[in-house]
Amino acid sequence: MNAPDAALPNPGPRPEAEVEALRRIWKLPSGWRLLTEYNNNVIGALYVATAFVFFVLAGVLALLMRVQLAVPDSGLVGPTLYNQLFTMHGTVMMFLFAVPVVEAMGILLLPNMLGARDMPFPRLSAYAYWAYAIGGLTFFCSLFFGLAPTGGWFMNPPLTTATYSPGINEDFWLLGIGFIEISAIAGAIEIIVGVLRTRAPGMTLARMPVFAWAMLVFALMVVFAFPAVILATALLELERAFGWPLFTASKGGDPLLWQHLFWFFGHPEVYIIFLPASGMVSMIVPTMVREPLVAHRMVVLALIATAFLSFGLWVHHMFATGIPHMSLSFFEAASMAVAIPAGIQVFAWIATLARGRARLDTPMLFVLGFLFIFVLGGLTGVMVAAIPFDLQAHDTYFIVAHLHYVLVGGMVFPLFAGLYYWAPYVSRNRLSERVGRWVFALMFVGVNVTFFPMHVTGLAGMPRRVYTYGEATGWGALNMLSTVGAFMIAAAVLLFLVDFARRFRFSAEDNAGDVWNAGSLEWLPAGSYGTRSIPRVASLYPRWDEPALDEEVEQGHHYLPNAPTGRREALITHPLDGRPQALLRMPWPGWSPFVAAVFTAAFFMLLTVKLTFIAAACGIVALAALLRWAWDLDPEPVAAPIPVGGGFSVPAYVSGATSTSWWAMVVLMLVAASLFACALFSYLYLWVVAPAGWPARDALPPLRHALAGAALAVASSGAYGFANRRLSRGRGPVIPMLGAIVLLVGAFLVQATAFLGASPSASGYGAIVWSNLSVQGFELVAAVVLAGFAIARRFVHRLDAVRRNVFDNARIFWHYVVAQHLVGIAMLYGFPLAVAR
Amino acid sequence: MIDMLRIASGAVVWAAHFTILYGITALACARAAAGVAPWGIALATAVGVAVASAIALRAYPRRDEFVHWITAAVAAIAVVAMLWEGVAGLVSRSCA
Repeated sequence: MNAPDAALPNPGPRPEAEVEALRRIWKLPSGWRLLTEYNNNVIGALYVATAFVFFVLAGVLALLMRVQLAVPDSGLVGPTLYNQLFTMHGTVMMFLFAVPVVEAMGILLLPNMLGARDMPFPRLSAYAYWAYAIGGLTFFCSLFFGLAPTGGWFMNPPLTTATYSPGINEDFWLLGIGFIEISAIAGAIEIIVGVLRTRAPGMTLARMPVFAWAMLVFALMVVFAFPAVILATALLELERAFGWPLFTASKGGDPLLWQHLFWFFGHPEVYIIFLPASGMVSMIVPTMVREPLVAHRMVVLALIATAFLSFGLWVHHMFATGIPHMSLSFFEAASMAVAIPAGIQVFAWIATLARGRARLDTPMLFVLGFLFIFVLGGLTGVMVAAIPFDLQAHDTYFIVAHLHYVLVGGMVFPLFAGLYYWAPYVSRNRLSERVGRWVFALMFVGVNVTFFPMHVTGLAGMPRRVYTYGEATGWGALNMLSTVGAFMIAAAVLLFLVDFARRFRFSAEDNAGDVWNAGSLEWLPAGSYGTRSIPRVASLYPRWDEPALDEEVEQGHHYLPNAPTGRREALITHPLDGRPQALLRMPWPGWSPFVAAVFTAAFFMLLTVKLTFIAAACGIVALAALLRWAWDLDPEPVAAPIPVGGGFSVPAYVSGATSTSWWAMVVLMLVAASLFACALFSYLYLWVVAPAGWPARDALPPLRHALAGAALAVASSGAYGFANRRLSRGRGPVIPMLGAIVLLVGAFLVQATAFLGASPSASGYGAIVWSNLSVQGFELVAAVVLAGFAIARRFVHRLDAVRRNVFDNARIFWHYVVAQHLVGIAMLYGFPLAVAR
Repeated sequence: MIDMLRIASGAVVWAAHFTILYGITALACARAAAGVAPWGIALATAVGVAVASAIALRAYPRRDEFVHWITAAVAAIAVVAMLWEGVAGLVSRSCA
């Protein structure tokens, strides 16, 4: 062995005791206490496995549907159950499998791929996971009681309003899915801050692996898209539970408002699923060819371009709803344009394949299958983007064929490629190559046999979502073929599960390791603590360009080869150039995230079955667990900077814009802003559609309310700012903070009381005004809880001029809520005044 | 944080342009004022293209650096997308 490079961050020999310490500190708890663990390897693996369970469950539902449709006039499954089957199949595949599984792959892979010990908010991932797993399984069980929703996975009103869907079936969807989206957002915040702030030193944005880019773009899309569906589900639940006529045309609402909100989420959702999968492909292809990805920068650009274009496509799901042609035209243009960035990626992969000789191992086979199936789905996508064609194909099996080609091709195949590729990363054995080839062959043939005939049945006129069809239609043979194909897919999945059960043995410490000779960091030798030392990154494929990297990292010659504070730690780096900035001290495993998750799930599920009091009790327990968890945040500052190697000494306590918590709060504010923007959109939308409900000039609420509300809100911001100045000078901030709370609550009450005359159940106008006020009120409560929490910490000496992250985070959120309040006043008072007759 | 926002600035211009196009056409058709829409589309597209071009040109001279390259490239794509969508919006003038 050569002498260690003197230019390494920690060139000298390192004591073996450091590894022992890392092992001890990051040791997984045993038995029941494993539930308290948040380590990304554990949560990531559980997360992937749970999502896969939902894939199998939703697949079984698909088989039931295929058996029913195999022959004409079949009476196996009646219409009521069939409606539940297709609703649950779509819902579970999209919300409980596709989105969670890509998020799960991110949580499993990202820390090691970025050279981090863990994500910055690991307990948030644990909370998101447990809430999803428990809530999702409960939701699925609604099927066994005949309580599963029946309105289709996009739940269009008026079918799903209380008039046409009484009972609690649709409520399960609205409350269950709405809350699982919250868990997706929690994961997205974690991923954004993780990708931007915990990369290994030297990993500039230019050296960041494509998968990390894909996950960053994915998470940002979740932040902007998911609030739309959360608002939509909340509004529909308000209509169902309290009779607010938001979607009832006869009372000044509009059922199309639902479709706008739903598809504003639902179309980006497709790319939310596809982009991480394409990121996996961009990791697998270079390894298999042993050549760097061709046009890396263009691929990154394509990811970003897809993300923003995808927000301009939602109306292409609504071409047949009678929207003016002038509006449809640019949605049509955008729908076609989005094929271009997808094409850029496809050509980059093909060019990379052409550069060398690809090894045809199972991951590569799935990548090739992905290219074939996804490109076909993309082509039919351009077809249905053309309005004249879409009007013919709308709601037929052609659409079913198109969307399955895109989703199975674009997401399931890359996922299987990823599962084969990364299994050796978390398992003692890799999966069987021999079985893998069979899995691939069965699945590839099965998918084409199932879904290709559907193009034809669709063009022959077979509508979606019918539980049977007559003999005379002549659709029988094609349907039988699709059913045969579906069972081939099932056989492939079964075979995969058998192989998985036989060979997969979870282990982060002695995994099978780098069987592919890959260039990225997740294949460095590692344990639950991540890598022994945190690598210094100088290129896109560090393990290819520096063959000694594995050994140097393992011997502790890179950054942070130890645990200087004696706790679990992560190295925080600069978001652009990746220079070390701080040492993040992580919490110890604890029960509060798990307890909070269980009771959050219980709260929403019990609300569905109208056990309001027990639900409220669960909500209180969940809130208490969250506060217990938050109590340990913002630990005692450490004065002396800590040397981490390479001449860098970093503080172990930071506040303000360097702190990861500040970043998370900024992302949360983007979520809040997106939610509020959707609420404003809904308001304007109903005004465009049904202006008659808006008050005449003499019926407007008095302007003095608006002015007083605005003045109080601005004063409350001023009071919080004054508290900030006092805290910075070492004085007590509590009195001005209490003043800020009183002023802001007052501002809200002044604003809300002006609208007491507009009953929310009487008209679409009243309903949307009070919906907007509810969104504002909800965020007001959140701001008050945050500020109250900071006050409580002041009394126990956990808040001072230095130790102040809780206060600062509450502060930026406070100013945000005030700004939102002012916009709300402008909209609710100013807008009707400007347009009043 | 500011640098991250700068990368997205072209996309933000695109989003504003798209929202304006959607708002103008929906409102013009709902209030029987279809004749107004093409002017609004043309104006919004001209302003959007100008702003995004300025972003691209400002970042371009330092394109060797990844962050500037990606800023300029995102803005350039936004220009193309706005022109493409704006032209489509001008071609069809029917509220049917």
